[in-house]
Amino acid sequence: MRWEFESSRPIYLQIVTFLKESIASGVYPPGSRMPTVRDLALEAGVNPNTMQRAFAEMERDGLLHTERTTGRNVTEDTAVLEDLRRSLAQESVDEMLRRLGKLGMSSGEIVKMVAARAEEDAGRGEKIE
Amino acid sequence: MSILECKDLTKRYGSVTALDQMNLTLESGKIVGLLGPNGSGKTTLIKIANRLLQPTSGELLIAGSRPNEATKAIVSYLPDRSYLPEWMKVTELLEFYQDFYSDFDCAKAQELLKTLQIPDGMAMKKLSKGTKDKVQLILTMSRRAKVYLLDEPIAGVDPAARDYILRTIVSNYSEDALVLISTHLIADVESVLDEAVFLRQGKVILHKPIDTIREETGKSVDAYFREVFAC
Amino acid sequence: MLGKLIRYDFKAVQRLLFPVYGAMIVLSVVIGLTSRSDSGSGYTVFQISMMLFMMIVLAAILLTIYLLVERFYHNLLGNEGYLMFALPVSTSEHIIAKILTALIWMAMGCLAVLVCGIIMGLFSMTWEDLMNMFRSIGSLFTQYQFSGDTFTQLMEMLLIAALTAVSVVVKVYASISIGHLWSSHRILGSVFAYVGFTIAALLVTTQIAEVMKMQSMWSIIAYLAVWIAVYGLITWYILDRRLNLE
Repeated sequence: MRWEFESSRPIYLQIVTFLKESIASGVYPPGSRMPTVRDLALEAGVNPNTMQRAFAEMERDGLLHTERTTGRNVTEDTAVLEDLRRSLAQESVDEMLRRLGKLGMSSGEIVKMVAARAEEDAGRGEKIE
Repeated sequence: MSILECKDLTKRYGSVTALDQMNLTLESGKIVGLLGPNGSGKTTLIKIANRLLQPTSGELLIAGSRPNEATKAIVSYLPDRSYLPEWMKVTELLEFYQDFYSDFDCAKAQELLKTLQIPDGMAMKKLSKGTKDKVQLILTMSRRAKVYLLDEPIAGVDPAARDYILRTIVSNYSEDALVLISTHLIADVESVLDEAVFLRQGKVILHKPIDTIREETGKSVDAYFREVFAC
Repeated sequence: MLGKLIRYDFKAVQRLLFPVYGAMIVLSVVIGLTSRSDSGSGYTVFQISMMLFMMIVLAAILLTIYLLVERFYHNLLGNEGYLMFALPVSTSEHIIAKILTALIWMAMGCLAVLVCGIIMGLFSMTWEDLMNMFRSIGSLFTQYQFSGDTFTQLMEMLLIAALTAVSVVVKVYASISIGHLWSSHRILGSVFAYVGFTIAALLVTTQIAEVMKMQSMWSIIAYLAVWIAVYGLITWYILDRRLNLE
């Protein structure tokens, strides 16, 4: 099974995004061990060097770190993780604003729509998905 | 010392120049795509690397030597055709490879062949083309070689089989080895490649990492290729 | 490596030749058994078997010649060439392996015919017939001028026979190789090359025969060796330097 990649952005950056989302959503919990580069590369259907580059980038960002003998682990630093969550959320918001802005909606209209939807979901006792 | 080097490599067949003072340097631990339209010289280059052809001038070096018996022992070649004897059974083929290649990993080959579920006594000629292709690929990738030369490994193969083939190639990856995949089906192999070499009329017109091409052009290598080689 | 190459060449061909040789031997037993029968049906079986036998011997000879050519062409210059020439084996090893395998097959063919002859002979001859035959064979040897010892004569003749066989085989290989130099009409090219070689050999022989007075065993052997070397070198050069598989 291969992961889906967009064709015009560097693959390793897309992997980084995917891994960041996976960490933020708990697929790879804090402190847990990451699969090896080879295994994940195989699963994703990419070149191990590309996966390695993605991992290196994550390490640079402080999201992964190499444990002496046990391989790579997800960080346990809550500040870093919270930062990640926030930045991913911010990216989504920025993206949404950009798209809606193209439709000619004002910030006021947008905030109203979001609030309305939130109330609706709360009324139905559902979390925002 | 790079594992594969071309220095002003030229090959002429009569009036046709297949390779034109070609220069290329490839390192181990990379999966490289040799990309170009039909007739650009991809197969000629690979044949010279296997000593199936002699250069007209210039040279091709494998680990510093011109192709010879010793380089053949470290190069694993998958041609773009059915090349195994039709009368041989799978067991006999395993024996054959083990007999002639000291770097052949028989256990691994058997493991991979098991998934194809070929009856033990069946000769190659009874197998479908798709299965034959997979057998050839498995035998080629079961050698612990320093250079793998794959000539159009996924052409003429259904999408599921393509995935199987690319997975087999990736899972076989070794830091000590160079994998050179020659193909014109770029979209399928792009995610598996480290670097791309564009070959046009026997000359290298580009040699860059995949991600660099994407970053610089904002396109996939496949899209960029179409642009470069537009007719 | 050479032994391995020979082994696989053998395997490729044994499926075809063993049954033929087997049938020959079985038939010769039948012939031997029915050769002295007086009954009508027995004699019919004898006649049919004799005819079949001759057909099979002919088939065996043709098959051996065909396989000689086909193995070289198919295994080295066809698609299998991609497998063979990628092996860590020198070009000369490939050529020598093919020659030796061909030699072995031809020897086995002769052996099979010999065995058949003996079988038929044993079943149909009386003891006296046998003795007479041996005596006439012995007298044949004393007619030649070479050396006095029958055993050495036999060995020398075998050597010349073997070298002649080898030279024919290498001549065929050289012809096929020359045909390979062109991209079309390869078979025609090979035939022309073979004819060309035959003519060349004829011309050279008529010139040299005067000078060398082919009397000594060793001059014949040397002469054959030279032709083998020439054909071998041509084959080697083309396969090593001018290979161009499709």
